Amino acid sequence: MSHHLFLLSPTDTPLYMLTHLSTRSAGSSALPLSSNLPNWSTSAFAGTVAALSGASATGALVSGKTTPAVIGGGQDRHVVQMIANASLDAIEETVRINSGMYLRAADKFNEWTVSAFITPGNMKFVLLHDAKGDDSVKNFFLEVWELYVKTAMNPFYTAHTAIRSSVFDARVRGSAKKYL
Amino acid sequence: METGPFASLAQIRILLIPVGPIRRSAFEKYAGLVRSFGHIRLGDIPPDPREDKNRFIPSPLSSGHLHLSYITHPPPTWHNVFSLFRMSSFPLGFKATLVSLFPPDSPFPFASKCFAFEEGEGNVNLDLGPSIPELVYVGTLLAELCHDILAEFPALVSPTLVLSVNTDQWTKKGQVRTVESAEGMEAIMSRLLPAVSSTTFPSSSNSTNGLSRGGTGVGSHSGASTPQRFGITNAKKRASSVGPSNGRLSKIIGDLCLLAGKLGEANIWYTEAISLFRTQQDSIWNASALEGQCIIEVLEAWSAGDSLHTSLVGNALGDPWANISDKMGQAINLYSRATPTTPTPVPAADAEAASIVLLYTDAVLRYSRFLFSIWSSKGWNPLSISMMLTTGVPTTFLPTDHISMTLSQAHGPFLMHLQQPDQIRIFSTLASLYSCIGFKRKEALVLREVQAAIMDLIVCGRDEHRSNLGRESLSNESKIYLFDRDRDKDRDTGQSVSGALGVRETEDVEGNISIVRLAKCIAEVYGVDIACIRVMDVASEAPTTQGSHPIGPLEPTDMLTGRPHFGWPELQIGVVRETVAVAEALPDHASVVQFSLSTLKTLHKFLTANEQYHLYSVALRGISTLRRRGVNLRAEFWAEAPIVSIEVLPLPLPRLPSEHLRQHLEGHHSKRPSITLPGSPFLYHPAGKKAATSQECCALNFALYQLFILFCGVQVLVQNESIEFVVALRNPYMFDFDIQYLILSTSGIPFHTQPVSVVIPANSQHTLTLTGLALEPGTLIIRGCQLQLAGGIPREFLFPIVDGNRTSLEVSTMPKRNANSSPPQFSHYEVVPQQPLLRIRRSSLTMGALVLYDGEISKIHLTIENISTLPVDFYRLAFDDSTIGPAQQGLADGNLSVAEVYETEYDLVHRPCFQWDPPSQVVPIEPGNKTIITVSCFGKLGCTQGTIQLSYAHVDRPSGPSGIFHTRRITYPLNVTVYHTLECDNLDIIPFKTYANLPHLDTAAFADDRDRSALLGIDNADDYCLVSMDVSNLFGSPFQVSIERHQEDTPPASNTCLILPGSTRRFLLPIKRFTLSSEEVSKAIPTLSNRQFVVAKDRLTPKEELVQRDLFWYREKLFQTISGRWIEPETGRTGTLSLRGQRLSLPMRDALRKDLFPLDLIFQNTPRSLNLACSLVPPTLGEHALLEGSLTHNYVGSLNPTQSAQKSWRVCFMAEGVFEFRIDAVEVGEDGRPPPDREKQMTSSFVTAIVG
Repeated sequence: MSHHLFLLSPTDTPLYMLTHLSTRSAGSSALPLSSNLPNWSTSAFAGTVAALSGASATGALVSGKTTPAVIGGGQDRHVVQMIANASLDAIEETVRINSGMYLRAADKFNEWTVSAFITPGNMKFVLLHDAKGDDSVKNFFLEVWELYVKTAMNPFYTAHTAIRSSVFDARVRGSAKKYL
Repeated sequence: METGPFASLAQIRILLIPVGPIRRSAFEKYAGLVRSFGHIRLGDIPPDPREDKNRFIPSPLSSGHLHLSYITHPPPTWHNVFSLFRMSSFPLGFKATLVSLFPPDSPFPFASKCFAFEEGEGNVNLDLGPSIPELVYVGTLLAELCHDILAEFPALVSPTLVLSVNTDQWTKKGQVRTVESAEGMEAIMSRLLPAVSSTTFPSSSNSTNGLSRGGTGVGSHSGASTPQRFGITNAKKRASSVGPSNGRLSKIIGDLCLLAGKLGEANIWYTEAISLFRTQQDSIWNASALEGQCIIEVLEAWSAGDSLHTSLVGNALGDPWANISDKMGQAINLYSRATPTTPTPVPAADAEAASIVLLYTDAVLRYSRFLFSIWSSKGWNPLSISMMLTTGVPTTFLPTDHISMTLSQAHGPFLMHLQQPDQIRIFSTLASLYSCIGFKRKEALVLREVQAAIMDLIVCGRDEHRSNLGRESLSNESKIYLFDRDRDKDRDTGQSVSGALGVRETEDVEGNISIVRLAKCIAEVYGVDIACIRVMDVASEAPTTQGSHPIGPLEPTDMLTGRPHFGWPELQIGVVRETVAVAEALPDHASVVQFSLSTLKTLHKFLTANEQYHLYSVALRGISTLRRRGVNLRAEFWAEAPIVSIEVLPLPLPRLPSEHLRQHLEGHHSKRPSITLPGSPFLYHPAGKKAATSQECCALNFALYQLFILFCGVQVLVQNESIEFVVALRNPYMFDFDIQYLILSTSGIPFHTQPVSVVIPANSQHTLTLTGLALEPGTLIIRGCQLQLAGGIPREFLFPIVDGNRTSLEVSTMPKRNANSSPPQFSHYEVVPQQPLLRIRRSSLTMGALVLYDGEISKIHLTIENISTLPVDFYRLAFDDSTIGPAQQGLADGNLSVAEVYETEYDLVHRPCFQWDPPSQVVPIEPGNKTIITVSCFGKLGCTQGTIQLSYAHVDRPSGPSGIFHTRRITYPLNVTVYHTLECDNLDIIPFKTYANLPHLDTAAFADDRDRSALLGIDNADDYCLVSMDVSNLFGSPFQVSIERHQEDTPPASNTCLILPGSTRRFLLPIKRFTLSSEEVSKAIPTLSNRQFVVAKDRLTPKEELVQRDLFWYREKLFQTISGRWIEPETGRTGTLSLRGQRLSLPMRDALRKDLFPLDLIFQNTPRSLNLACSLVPPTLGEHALLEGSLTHNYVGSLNPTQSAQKSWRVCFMAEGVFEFRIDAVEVGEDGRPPPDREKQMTSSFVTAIVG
């Protein structure tokens, strides 16, 4: 079970990314139809379809040549990023109705549930998780927010600067371990 | 199974296909006509008297509608499994637009009920052109068609209907009967299928256009699909073993009723079916029945129309569609929980799973569509109207994320069960719905899947096709297109299999274009402008693109500003990479080029070196492929403006022309060059030179010249001489950047330059020197550079001047607005006519070193050669040396007295280090000729450096109307060494009388006083004075020095003497005394230069000033009279001895000045009396003389000229010795006082008495 956290600037640029593998297991809520997928084609593009529809997570499919050596983590990572990016649509829509900072399960896509946290500065924290969002996700977001605010107080930091602070990274990992 | 509208379950499908050779336009026209009938009122259906047929025929008076939908392609064969389950998905009617006898055919189970529509007269009428009556007539025909379809329904149902009655309690038999009935249907089919086989059909399908291709495809596949269908029927049989199938039967009857427009009846059947399913756990059929109920509800609402609100006011508290939502949600849930009944390894299970997924996604999409239509029409419309009439808030607000959430249920790994065409259909439906609710990013994600799925089909189809090629050559089978619906992309493989000949088909690029458009659309959502580089045909576009980028360098500066990047770079790169791969796989080379180059332009900051290189090489490859195929496409210039700066290298000083007014030519014969003092207001003065050492001088000149360029912005260049430009180029990319063609872009006068090609190393700056020739004089404007990359269109990059500064990339970011408002300004260079060029061929100096003695005069010879093609008809020399600077500085400081100022200026003006007498007639130096210029030098102490400047020009031009001409200059620096040799000292002037009266030391030689005077050529001792000075030789070799006298009324006289090294000699020279008139003496001390007036610091009283002027003028006169010369006997070098370092004191002046009234002072022995005043000088102690009379104030009276007076004193000497008397005669005024306005005149006379 994995979690993906993205801190997105107001221009949709990721400033920080974290993939957290949790030891806690969640009950599989996948549809029975999602298993035993057939493999229609071995073409490279079929891999893309499989990956995007989430099939490659369950079945082992040939990874497409269209995305060779994605920076850091294979096709899955790219798909996760795409889902996070696409969920911004739903998040932005929700923000218009819901004035709260924590948007629980703002979007669902494939097997992912997307929760978001919008700071007053329009920074978006997007978390992809498979379990149902509950208080632990909210607490996690609150802690990340605090860490972010501390980072943002750095006078050399702007809203569009990527966060490379190792302290920030370590602390976010710590709270991810704590809550997720 | 097209994803139709929400109520597609209630629509009777009619397949429209052309039969026979019909033009596409004609077919579409009539198809459109037929399509305009979406509904047919039940009342219009003709009644049927037959008992067995009229079960579903509406009664003549029934209200309601039949809903029709028209398709032009038969559904794919693998949907046959739904034939019983979902009849609405299959065409129940054929409608041909031309009379033909084609066998009624269909591959589907229910197609046996299909009606082959044949109507001779009607179609003739249609061909003639439909009018309104025909429109009505078509409606009638359609109604008849519907009637025929409906009439076939009972034939389908009756066996099963009978069965359902019988098998209520006898399930096993019922099953058997069901299978039997299915077999009955098979029998019907088997009667029809042979007619559809590919062998009978091709004649019509090949002759018609692409629309009929579906028919062939289906026909060829029908055989393959048969076992599949058996499989599913078997599966259904097994599924139905759980419970009785009468629920299913009810559902089927409900479906038929729904299709027949009997809504009430359908609802009853559905309700019954659902109640039966509840106990039987037949989830799929249950869900389908629920769907049917929802549709009935919607159809009822639709037919209710405007009166809807009245029926819904009752439950206005909740969402009016809550009931439908509930049922649909239930149905979706049921579908999603359905599992294939067979174990997984069986291929039939895959097909079953695919069917379930298809049904599931279909239901989700149906529901989404329902929500979307509510959302897009802003609520439950009639209800919102009713809300306007009553008070209260409308409760019908539907957020889009609800739709999105619903839609996302249709997306998941299970989609992989589906056949690719179904995948594509579902993906594209998803994408369009996402797009409609404004979720662009989701749309893009789904579109990527669409794109990938399509590409997958293309690639697989191509592979299959390729493998088929080998097989077909043996089996001679007709080729099979795996998918050939509306996207027949695989045609662009450009090969045909018909026969052994390779025939090149006309490329149908429509499919490729839409895929590329898809890619662009995706990239745009991710914020990548993937088409920002245009790729165009050179022949048609090239002329227009020349001027289309007027502000070249300003454009890419957006990249440099601190604007944050928009979007997700990693995703953008991923998308781009995929897009390029897609374009490569198509293959669409033009798009490959465009995409990769656009990416390089916009995203290069985020790309790694490898990716950049990959994209670059892909683009190059694409361009070369295109060229090989004869497509002359070229890419726009894509790189970020690579030019950083363009600078003209200033001409070297010897080549630099300087401008002069022609009228100055008249005065150029003046002997001496004018002196420019530091106070000159002109910063840049080519004629007068700054004082400095020659190196400093050059450096200073250069700096000044640069300043000059900076201020004026105009640089002077010369026609027909090579001009050098330094172009700085920048390569921000991680690969070597190949510029094939780089040329300066100029306007104004014609300019000749060669294009160069250059490779800029990765990620670096590169400086390039370009040369060119200006062919005509005038103004040369450097606009920028034209650059062309490999396979690209040349593009001009302009470099305008912004606010007087040269534009560099950094500067140009801010004044973009200004640049837009006014036309850009460019660097202007003035090109002057061709100029001659001289050089110093040789000089008489060795190593440019000049060694002189102080005061020495020598000559330098310079040989000048004309190395140009123009004659030099004007030249002049100017000089500079290291003494001028300090002297001018001293003058400028203003701390000098007036006399010192004069002395300095005299030095500058009359004793220059270098001097040149221009010849009276300048002989032009013809091309290739030489001439010798002689410069005289003067050794001046303190001089260490000197510069000779030769300015020359070709003045006498045939075309020289303007009042200016240009000169060039050669600078010849000299190292000067001046040795200090002779020093003059101790100038003194004494009256000659004193000297004459001295007793002779050697009385024997000079017996008479007269003798000494005679020796010196002096007739009257009173008229002469004696000038004496010491000359010392400080040098190591002897010098013969002579002091000369030049006076008007005396013969020249000189005193010559050899002075040995280290010795000092005293020179004596008698000079005739002279008097300067008071007017001469009182003149102010002149200034020799045109220096600005400096107020003297020390204020002198008028009297002091008078004395100063008096001394000045006498000194001047003295130096005019005597002069010194020397000659070095060993070498014969000659020079002058400067006396001007000597000062003149008042006693010396008195000695020099001729007495105004000469005193004749004599002693008379008898009587011993003395004339005039007499004073004893010096009065020595112990020596006494008695003097009778007053010693002072002996007033003589006024004397007229030539008049004389006498005065006598008596003296009595009281002791022995030598007595010397001096008598001073002083001029007095009327009242006995000296005249106030001028210095009093005084004459002294001495007399010596020796008393023995």
